[in-house]
Amino acid sequence: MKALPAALVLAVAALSLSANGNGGHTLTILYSSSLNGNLDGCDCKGHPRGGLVKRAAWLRKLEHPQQVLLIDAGDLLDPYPDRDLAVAIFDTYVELGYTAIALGDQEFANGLDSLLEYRERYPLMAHNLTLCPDENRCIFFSTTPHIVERAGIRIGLFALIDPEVFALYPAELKKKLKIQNPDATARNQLACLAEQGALLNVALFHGPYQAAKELAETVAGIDVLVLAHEQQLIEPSRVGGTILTSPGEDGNRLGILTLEIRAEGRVEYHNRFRLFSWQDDPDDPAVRRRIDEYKHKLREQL
Amino acid sequence: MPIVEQLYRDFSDQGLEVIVFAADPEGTELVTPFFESRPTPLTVLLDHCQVTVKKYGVGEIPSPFLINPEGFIVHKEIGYREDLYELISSFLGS
Repeated sequence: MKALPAALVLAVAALSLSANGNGGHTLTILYSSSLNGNLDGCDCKGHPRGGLVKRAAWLRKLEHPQQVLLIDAGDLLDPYPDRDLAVAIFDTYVELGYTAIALGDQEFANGLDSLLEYRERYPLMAHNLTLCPDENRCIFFSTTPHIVERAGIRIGLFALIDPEVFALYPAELKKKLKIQNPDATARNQLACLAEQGALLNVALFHGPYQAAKELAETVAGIDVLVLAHEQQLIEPSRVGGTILTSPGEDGNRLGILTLEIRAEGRVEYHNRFRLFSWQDDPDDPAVRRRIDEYKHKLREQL
Repeated sequence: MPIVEQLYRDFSDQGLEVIVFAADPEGTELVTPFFESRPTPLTVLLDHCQVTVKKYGVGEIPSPFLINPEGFIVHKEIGYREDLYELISSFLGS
């Protein structure tokens, strides 16, 4: 949390007494990860999946969606190519109001050309990735850090992908990727966000837990770090000054992280996970229709 | 960079100025040591927040722009091309 000059602290306190009664702000961050292509769910024994269709129904009931920050740490797609499914998933995310989606390695499933299209159409982010589709040109996957305002707070957002996630990918793909050092990129993003007046910094990290932990230990200034890739549920904890968390496998959970941001800059938090169940949670009708259309198209192709 | 440096060496006495915007996502941690280990006659500006990238819609690198003395962009390239020297020198010659 950036330290505020004394005069500004007083001004913020006076303006936001109604926000949480402590002269600060209250912000809710809703976060998901690793959907793995589960637009629909499954009551499969031993591997139950709620599916985006259940999460969507819950999200659409939010009373003040514009006041929360809705983000995902990546791997929305199935690791196997399926362009129709990819578009159905991304379109649903946009419809639900996701502000930022970290690029996961599974988002490469439909090839680089498709990925470049998704980059144009959807709020995908990877600030330390440069794509070089051919020998003569390279493309910054994300340019400039992103600032949004929620609950009266200017929030800086950026996403990082760890090179380790591509360890098993073909050399043909890897030679088209330039992955900049996540630590150095994070420090640079934080410097830019500070210049642009961000008061809270949220980073999405797609990579191993150990790398995320080291990032949080090494780089000061990340308030919240949401992690995905290893399909592991990680209850939030403080690593240095950073709250590090992951909602785990198959998009089954939505993390609900409430931050109490005190006027003096201290951030307190509490968190719970909402687990979606195929049997017990209702479908979102619009997503159910989208699933039906997708399945119909699939049957036609077969 | 070698082509642009050659252009600068050959045409600076005719008034050519070259400004390099280094917009790498790692910012100064990468750019400063790079140019310290590889000195260049060009003017290098660090654009660590990618302001120029956004302002001029330059999503791809390299993207050379040629600006005339009146301040108008007279040529823009996206990506690297082998014949960049010949192309730019033809503008400068005319």
